[in-house]
Amino acid sequence: MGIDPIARLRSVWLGRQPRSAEKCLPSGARLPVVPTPFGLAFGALLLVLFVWSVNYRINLGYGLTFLIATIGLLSAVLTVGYFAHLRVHAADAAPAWAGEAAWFPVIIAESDGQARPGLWLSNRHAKVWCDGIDPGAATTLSLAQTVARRGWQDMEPIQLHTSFPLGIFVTWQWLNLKARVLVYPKPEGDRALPQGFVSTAREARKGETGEEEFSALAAYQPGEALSRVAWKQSARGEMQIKRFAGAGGAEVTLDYHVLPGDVETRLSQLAQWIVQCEREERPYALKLPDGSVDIGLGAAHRDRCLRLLAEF
Amino acid sequence: MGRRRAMAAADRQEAFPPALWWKVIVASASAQLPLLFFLPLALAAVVLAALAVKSAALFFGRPRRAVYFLAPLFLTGVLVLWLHYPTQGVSNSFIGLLAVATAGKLLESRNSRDMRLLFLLALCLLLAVLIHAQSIAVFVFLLVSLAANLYALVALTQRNSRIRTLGRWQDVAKLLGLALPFAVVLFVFFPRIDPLWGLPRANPRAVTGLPDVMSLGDISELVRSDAVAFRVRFTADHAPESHLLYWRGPVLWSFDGGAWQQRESDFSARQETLSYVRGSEIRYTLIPVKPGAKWLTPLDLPIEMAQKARVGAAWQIRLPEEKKGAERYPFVSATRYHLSAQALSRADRRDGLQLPADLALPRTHALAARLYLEGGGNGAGFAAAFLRHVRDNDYFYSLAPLPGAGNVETFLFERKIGFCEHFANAMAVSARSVGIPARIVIGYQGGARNPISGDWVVREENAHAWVELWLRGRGWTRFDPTAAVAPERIRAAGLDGGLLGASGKNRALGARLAEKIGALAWLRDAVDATQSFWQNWVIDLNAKRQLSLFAYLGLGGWLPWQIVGGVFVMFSGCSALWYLLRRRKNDRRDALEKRAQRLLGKLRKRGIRRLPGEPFGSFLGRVGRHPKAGDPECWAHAARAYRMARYYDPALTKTAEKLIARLDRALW
Repeated sequence: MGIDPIARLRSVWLGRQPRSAEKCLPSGARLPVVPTPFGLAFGALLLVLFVWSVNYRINLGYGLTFLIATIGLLSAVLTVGYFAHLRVHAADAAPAWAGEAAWFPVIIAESDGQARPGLWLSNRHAKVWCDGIDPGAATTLSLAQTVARRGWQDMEPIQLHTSFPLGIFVTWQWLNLKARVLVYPKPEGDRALPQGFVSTAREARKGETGEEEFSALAAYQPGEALSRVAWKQSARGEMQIKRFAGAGGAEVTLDYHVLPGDVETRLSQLAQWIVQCEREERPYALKLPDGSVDIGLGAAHRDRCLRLLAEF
Repeated sequence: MGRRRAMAAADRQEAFPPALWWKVIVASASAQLPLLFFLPLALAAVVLAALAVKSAALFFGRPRRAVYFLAPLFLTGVLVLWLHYPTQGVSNSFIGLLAVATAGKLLESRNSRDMRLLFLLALCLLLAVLIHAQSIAVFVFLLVSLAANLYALVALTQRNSRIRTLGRWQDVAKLLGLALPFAVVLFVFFPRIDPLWGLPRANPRAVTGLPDVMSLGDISELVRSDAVAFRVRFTADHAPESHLLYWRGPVLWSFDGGAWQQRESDFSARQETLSYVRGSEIRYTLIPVKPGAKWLTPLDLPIEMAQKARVGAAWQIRLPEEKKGAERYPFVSATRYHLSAQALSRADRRDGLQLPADLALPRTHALAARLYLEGGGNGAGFAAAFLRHVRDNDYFYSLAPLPGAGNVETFLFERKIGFCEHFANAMAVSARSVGIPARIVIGYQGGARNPISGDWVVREENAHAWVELWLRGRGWTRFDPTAAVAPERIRAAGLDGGLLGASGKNRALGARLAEKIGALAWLRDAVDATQSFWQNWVIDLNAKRQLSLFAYLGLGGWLPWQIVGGVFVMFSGCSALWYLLRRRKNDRRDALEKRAQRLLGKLRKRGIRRLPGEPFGSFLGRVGRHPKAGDPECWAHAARAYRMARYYDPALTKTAEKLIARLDRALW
């Protein structure tokens, strides 16, 4: 698939415009409007009607042709009117995995006190249908954007278009809104988890004393379940958290340095391990060349680790 | 590519709600309906069958099953067209094909693309109707059908939208009403263009009006119609007296015992010499109304005329064959004239005296000879004596002559009841039998002035036949035996048929009623004036009339294209204005704010002011406790509604507005 030169030109053009999280569409007179394929057929038909009237000298035929043409033009006025002064706001998307879709919330707000019929919101990847906006109301749509690379990604330009009310003319607007998404490396790799460091005593006890055996205290990390906080010990100062041997097996340290391969392969393998640890509820620590996360478990811990990987 | 294919597949799968289907079917039917009157009956039946099949399929919840009927109905339609091709001609057959194709498309339509195509086909059909008829009624119907088609298109386009615009009948009507003024201005100012290429005559069977041949009975058939044949506008409203209103049509020379025929040589020979009395000229414009009329019927006798027409030797004027639709013909006629006064050519004398050899006319000949002698042995005397004879003996004028009136002998001596053509026939045959050259002229006699438009209207019921005798020294001279037997018909310009006894029953009902009831006559005049306006400014609007209109409006120096450009500028300005107005009106919340401000203003005059920073809702509540305020509950209620509308639910805006307006009205 070749790169669309128009799309490239557009991205250059949009890239030069200042980005902001919210943009207001211009008035109808400044919106583009061109005929749809049906509109072209409609125009060709008008030409046929006109020639027919001329050749047969049907005066009323001129009248009918002009009437239909005027209605077509009025529909163009309506079409651009449906977009005039709409406010479009985009918010940051929740973090997503590389290679998958990030969902950007897009809010379209109406403030002219005029009901707007349906419109399409799209980008290079996907298209969502908005079935109308009430006067003075706002509607939120989620637009998917496939993200390939890890790290912070900007929201790609989005397009709004509609061909209402008659489908003869279409108007559209490309917007480059300021919103971003953190993309985690794609969890990939088939290496086994590194060996955990579990004390032999605990290992020996594990079978007879059950899973909820308290094993150790660790420093609290934001995002840890509050039920695991050792409140008594924490009362002295630093928040402590209880670690249970039976909760998920051996603690592991996920170390960047021990992995072979290039950076992306290593990061993918680390991400894969994090996912696996979370699934198996096995506490883990992360070690990267430029930083590390102490041992922990849970959504917040996971996000912290993945964020480090993404930003690496 | 793959995406497009996927979309097309989705389109095919889409199931439409029955309501949308019904809208599309009704819209398509409304565009086909007027055409059914102009198509061959069998074709109309095919189209109706297709509509019925699709409706039935929809009724049983299986709109797509109708496609099974496509092949048989479409093939039948094409076969019917093929069979009727010789009588229908190219244009009409093409329109028939369009109708059949639309019916076929309706049968097989299943997705939105099909429905859009149906919309475009419907627009084509609407124009096709105009080839046949351009009356006001047709135009009004076209507007309705156009609205129905737009309504269906809106429903189709916005089928997936929760909020629809133009979704109601009123909205579509508003759109049409908004487009109409622009269309009218464009219509008036757009320069008319000559046909880009030649076209066959639209409809060969539409030729109506005066016949080329007078077989006895033809004209009485014509007279039963009160359709308008042509209109006349006399310059400065200077019309001749009604007994001079003879509108000259074809001139008939040869009689075969049953019918009078024209002479082909009339259209190759030179025109008969004409001299007229100065001061008897009448200037007027003649506007044929019947689309397929073959003859121009100027006032007897035209001395100056449009160059486009073919003038025969006897000053009868035939319209060119390829001429289509109405045109306007300025004429000058002289009411007192002499035709071939000096001498009659040998051929004319021969043709003017021709009688079928096998026609036995002993009694007619005897009567004619007696009248000739009574009249002093000359043509003029014979004519006077003949007219006296039909007036003084029991001859009657009737549209329903007794059988046998076509035979001169039977008519003159036994039946004695006849129509104009029988009297003309009898007089011409009698004159020829005694050696006076005679011929018959058919055309129209009379006409009625429309007091509203000032036009004279001549209807088919004014069709007439009279005789011209060649008199030495005077040339061809008009004699009307009908005038002798039924002078009322001539005097009242043909509108007094009611006095003619039995004949009245056979005249057009509209005409007879109009004579009886004054109000109805006015109505008929008003309708006719409207039609005349329509004819003048809609159907006949051509480049020349446009220029005269521009001059009248003071736009004389403008080029049509400049005016059309001006219209476009006006269009954009007005549509922008419309858009702004619409926004203002729809902004209910603004309206609520305005109401609130008005109430505040009124209260201020009464010395009650809002405290700085006091919300409007609480302020209302406070005013409600004022001793003069009336029911505090009302105020509290309005305050609640205002707060709700403003901060929670915009849908309540209208309610709040109403409540505040009520407070406003009930203020002390």
